[in-house]
Amino acid sequence: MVSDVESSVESPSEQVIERQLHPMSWLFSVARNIKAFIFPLVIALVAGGDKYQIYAAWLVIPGIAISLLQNWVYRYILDVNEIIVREGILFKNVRHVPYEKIQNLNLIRNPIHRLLNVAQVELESASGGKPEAVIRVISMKRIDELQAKLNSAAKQDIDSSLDNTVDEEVPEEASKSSSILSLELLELVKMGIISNKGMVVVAAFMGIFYQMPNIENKAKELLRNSELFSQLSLQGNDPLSIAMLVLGGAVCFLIFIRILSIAFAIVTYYGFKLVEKDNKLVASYGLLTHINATLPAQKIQLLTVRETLLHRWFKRSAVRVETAGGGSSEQGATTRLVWLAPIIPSASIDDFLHQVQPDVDTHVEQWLKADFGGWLRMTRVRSFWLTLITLPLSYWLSSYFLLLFLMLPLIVIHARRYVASIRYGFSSNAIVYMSGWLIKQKTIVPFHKMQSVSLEQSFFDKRTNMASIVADNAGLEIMRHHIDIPFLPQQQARESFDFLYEEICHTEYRWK
Amino acid sequence: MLFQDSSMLSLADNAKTYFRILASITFGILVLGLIVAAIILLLVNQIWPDLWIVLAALAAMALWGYLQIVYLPSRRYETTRWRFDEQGMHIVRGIFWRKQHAVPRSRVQHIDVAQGPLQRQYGISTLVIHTAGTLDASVSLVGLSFETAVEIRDDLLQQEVADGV
Repeated sequence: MVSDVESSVESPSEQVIERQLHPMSWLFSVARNIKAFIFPLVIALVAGGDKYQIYAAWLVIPGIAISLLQNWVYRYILDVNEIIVREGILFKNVRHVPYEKIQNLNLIRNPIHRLLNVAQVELESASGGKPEAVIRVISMKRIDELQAKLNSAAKQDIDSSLDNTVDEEVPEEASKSSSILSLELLELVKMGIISNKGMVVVAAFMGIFYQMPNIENKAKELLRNSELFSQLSLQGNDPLSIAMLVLGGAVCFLIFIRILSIAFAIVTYYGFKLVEKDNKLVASYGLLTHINATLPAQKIQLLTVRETLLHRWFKRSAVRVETAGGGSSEQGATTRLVWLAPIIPSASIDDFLHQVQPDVDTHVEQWLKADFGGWLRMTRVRSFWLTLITLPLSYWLSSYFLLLFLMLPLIVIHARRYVASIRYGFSSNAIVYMSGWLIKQKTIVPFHKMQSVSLEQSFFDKRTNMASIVADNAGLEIMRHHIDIPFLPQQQARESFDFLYEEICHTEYRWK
Repeated sequence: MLFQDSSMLSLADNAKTYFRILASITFGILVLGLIVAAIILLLVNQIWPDLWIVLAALAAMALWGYLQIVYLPSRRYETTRWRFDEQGMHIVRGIFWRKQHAVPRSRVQHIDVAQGPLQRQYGISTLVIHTAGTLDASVSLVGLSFETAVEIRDDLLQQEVADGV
């Protein structure tokens, strides 16, 4: 439906186009609704769970009806310089998103999407967090149309900015694309071995297992009747047999988990490709659900290189980024690129970082360290908590809990190694902070991406003449590695803080 | 020592009084609640405490009141320092956990000057600086005189106009 504006006289790019969702969209809405209910439903049917679970399944029907109606009224309008999304039945919602504000166009395609030649589209603006609009689903032809609109808007933007500003991005370099990273199958296998994702699957299975008494019984029956186990003559009271059984079980379990992890890595990241195009990083990956995610390079707030013990055995690393906006757990933001390099040879890390963030200098002349005395404080705090947990347990439950105190040497070793591993330094335009000995992490934040800095001295810091430095970023995930450097000698902390603040003041923060 | 800086300013003179009154109000409400709870408990159980228990409770309350109303507000007043210059805003605060925030001018997203009813009585206000950050997305400073807070806000606003943002 073309709207009543006199669009026929104008050029195609000036046209106002109103579009509905793809006719098959209902299928995906129904699937989405059923997905939320499928788990209890299957358990109810297979395992003979409680009756209410079967009744609850009927609740899916109003949900489907509502989402069908929602699909039916959903419209998006491609205006001259903005996209307008109309949705809602009772509560109408009209959203205007100017083309220039749209940073990413992310596509998600699972096998059914691909079969029908459609995709789920997410439009992301610089604010991050939730996508500005999620279009479920439109055909690939419509996506090309949308893309063309965005591109022509971007071109106009560059044309108009050419004469008045000297932008950091050089327009001549636009539309050049180069491959940064592509992962072979072998790399994904290694990634699976390194990661521990299989554990998640096992945990989920355990959860189901305990929900279903029938299955547990069937499994026992199966074990009892199977040929394999009847041929093994294991004496229940023979210590050697028991030891072998336990060991064998543990080995099988470990192998099983690794296989699951490998499968998980391959399914998620199959055909991973990271390409740089027009100053944007485009990643595409996925075996079943194909994901195409874009991330403007300047939207990266923080980069972390992570190496676990297993990573180092394989001479591999992983690179994680944090982008402005944060809140990646929001429903819908499924395509946010977090692991820029899920796995990468450690030797090529420097090249990779340079390609991803060419402006950021990672070369540090002089490394600064934490006060090694910090290990004593770490040990004290951890032993305090250990005691607090162990004593009541051993008093009321069993004196075997006193064995937990055997962890004390581990606490000491960890604290000493950890504090010794802390180091940070300044390059010409960024801070680099490393810490950890089992899991080594290195975080790089350019000065111009920092929002504020703080110098902190707790009561315990004061007693030991220490202090810590914290740098704040947009879209920080607080539980993840970020610039929060503890146990610094007081004087050094003050100097670094002043230096950092001075450097930040001399830079300008840019959203895009 | 770490946070000593002669160029840092202290809060408005009225701020200490304001902190005291605020603490008195919260303390008063708490004490009232405790007394009511104690009376209800005693009436229900019909047990009357010995005199020394009452005296000990009163003494504990008096000590707590002293800390809450006299000691902590004046410590809070003394330990809070700030500086606003052409580079940005520095705020030092905290009694046991000391912290110095430094927010460059260019990172300030917007500024609020807020005044509660009690604050209006004493001509002081709360300055809230918002950044695009996460941990310190907003840094607030309670106890500036209203005029100072407005001055800082206007100064930052003018700069934004000059930047053409």
